[in-house]
Amino acid sequence: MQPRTRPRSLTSHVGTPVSAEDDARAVDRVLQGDVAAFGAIVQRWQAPLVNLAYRFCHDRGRSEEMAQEAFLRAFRGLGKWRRDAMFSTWLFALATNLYRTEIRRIPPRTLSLDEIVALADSARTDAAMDEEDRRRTVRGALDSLPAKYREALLLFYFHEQDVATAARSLRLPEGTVKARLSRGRALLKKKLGGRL
Amino acid sequence: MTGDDLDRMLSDEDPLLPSSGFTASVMEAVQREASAPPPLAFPWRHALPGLIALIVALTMAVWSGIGALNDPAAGALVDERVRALIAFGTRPDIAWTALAAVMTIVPALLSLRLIRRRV
Repeated sequence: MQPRTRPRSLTSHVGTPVSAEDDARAVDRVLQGDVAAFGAIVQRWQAPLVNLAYRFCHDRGRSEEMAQEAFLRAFRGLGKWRRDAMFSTWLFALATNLYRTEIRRIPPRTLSLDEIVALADSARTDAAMDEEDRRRTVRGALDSLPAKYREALLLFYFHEQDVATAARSLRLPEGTVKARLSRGRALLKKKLGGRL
Repeated sequence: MTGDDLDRMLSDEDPLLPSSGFTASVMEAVQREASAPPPLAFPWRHALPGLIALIVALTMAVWSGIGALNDPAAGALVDERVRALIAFGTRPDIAWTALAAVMTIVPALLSLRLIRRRV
């Protein structure tokens, strides 16, 4: 794994503008038998798919395995992509569905909020909880939410707080996602109350 | 903690770059997938007569069961049939046949389950 860098956006390829036409052209070529053309799709979407997987599992190795499986499923199901939606929408929905199933099958090891706060306490040297500790605590609280709220929040923040895109990825109506976001945020604040 | 703080912390996840061999690894798996023979289709043409016969048999069994329940002598008839069934089931040759069937089906199901896990 290379060192971390900060791309402009998680949902666009690092440094390269994403064009819907490029995706459609690559898909056409793959469907005509040019398997190597799928490489362009992998190149374009690997960073977002790995990052999305990482948000679900917090494990670099596993996130690549999950992203690889998502690409394989996309390859198998390319013919099912109806062009009424963008390729990226279809790909994210497919990946999200796979990641949710995978995480429910083998949940990542999560620490309780108390354990996280205790870890932060033992690690910090100054009186105030530093930014990284606070972030770790928030992530721990997010991981401890029921799946439906955790997934809504996770997708919402991954898609740069775009409810419509998060709803499409989760294949849920926008209203449902908004309700889950509201309830999820309330639960998160309740869990974090007094800890930060 | 304000809502804005929460938004900021949940948005600011440090992004990862996939490892340098990731694309090659995915493409290798894709090439393997593409060169693998297509999965066998379910043989509907051959299975259809059997399925139809099964549905007809089930319908007839349900129909005769309902008819038997309407019959005043149904209780005696059911008793007689249950007794015949128990006598049939406790014959030694039937027990051996059932044991053989179980010993065949269980390993087959276990193998299928293992294959599914690997896939």
